[in-house]
Amino acid sequence: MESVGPRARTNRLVTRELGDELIVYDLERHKAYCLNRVAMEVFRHCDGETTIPDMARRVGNALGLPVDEQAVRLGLVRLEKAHLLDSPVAQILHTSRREMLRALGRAAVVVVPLVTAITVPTSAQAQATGVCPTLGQRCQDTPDCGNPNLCKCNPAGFCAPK
Amino acid sequence: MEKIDRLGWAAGIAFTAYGLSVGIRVSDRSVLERVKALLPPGWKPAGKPTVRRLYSVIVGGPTARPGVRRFNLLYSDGARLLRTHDLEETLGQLELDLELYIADRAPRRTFVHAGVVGWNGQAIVIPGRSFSGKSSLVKALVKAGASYYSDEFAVLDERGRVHPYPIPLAIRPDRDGASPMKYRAEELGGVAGVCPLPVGLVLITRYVSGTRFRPRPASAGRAVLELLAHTLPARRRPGRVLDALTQTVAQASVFRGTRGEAEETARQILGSDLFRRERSASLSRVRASVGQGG
Repeated sequence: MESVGPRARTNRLVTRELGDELIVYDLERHKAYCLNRVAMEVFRHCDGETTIPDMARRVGNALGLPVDEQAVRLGLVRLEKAHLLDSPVAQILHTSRREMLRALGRAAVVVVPLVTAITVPTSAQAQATGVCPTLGQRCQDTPDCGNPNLCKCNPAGFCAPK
Repeated sequence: MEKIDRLGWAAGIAFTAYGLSVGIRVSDRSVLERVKALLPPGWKPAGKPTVRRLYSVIVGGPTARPGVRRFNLLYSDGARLLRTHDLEETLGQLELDLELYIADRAPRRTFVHAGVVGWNGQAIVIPGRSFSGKSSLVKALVKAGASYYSDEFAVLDERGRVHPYPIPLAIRPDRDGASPMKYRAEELGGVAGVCPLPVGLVLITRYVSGTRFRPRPASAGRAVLELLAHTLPARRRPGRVLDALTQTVAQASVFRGTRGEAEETARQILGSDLFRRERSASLSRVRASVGQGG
């Protein structure tokens, strides 16, 4: 049966609530996101069955404030960009993403759903001091020499500073 | 590995640190004391001869043939890490790899690149990589009376407390290419912390010349992301890392902003009320974001 509403992705995600925020770790892309309260409520109500008008009402009840559909749409666009939804939003809203963003740009969105993202580093990247952390190691043993921003593979086949 | 095992080894050491057992063997006994100086804080001799990781250091040098020198070689288990004529470079790579191994694999600790000091029974955590300016700020805080925990790693337990990792502070001199100067806390007129502390303040900052330090409150979620960006084992065990980080920030204030000179910034931090957990402010921040025009 086709969904009437957007559905949140659940596979390969690790989530932790932190007061009014939600931390989401994407195990596939190794990215982490912080959803503010508004975005968190939108994400929570993406069950594949809740329509946009219903979602606006329920999110508003959860926040104790009026929430209009534009805010929900903005939240969905941002969640989709973060690969946190199971299906393309445009499909649910019967419009292209570009048209939706254009419409949102003209609207005054009072309630702001925020999704902040980082790329989670590997151990070698997290340790990097500005010098190549795999200096002298064989390139074939360490993909990208651990940190392509700091290292390169020299002609002899060993990791060297970039 | 078997080829390496067949070589003659002059000396070695087996030790435990942060729940891991490591061995280091050397082909030249005279190098062993220098190797011991590179071991992580709090290391203890291992009770058993079997270890989880074994480093092998083959010391090079001149040979009987004029102009021919043997390479220094460094292995981690069976994998060669380095081949160089420079012994200092070999020992430097050993220290770096050992540090990475411990920080990445410690079973009951989460290692975050950060400077840490203690103040009034709470920890101030300043996330950032080496040479990001955090060491200068840590040094200034210690000279101003805070206790020294680390200028390299915040070592977090499952309860979100931070443990000491008191390697000497490394401060890079102003001139390019110069090696960092290393200081113990006592040499700065300070003291080293010994007990684990709850985190009272997470400060997200970086040095910008000529800037005044005017920190703004930031959310706990923002602090988790900032810490996560500097956490070594984040990709290997994200669930446990997130547990430790969320515990760490749950009771902490979080502020962010660029800073100017370290001494002035340290005085402002220690003389301020940044530590007070502003629950009412966090709620008002939610309402403020709801009320703003988009």
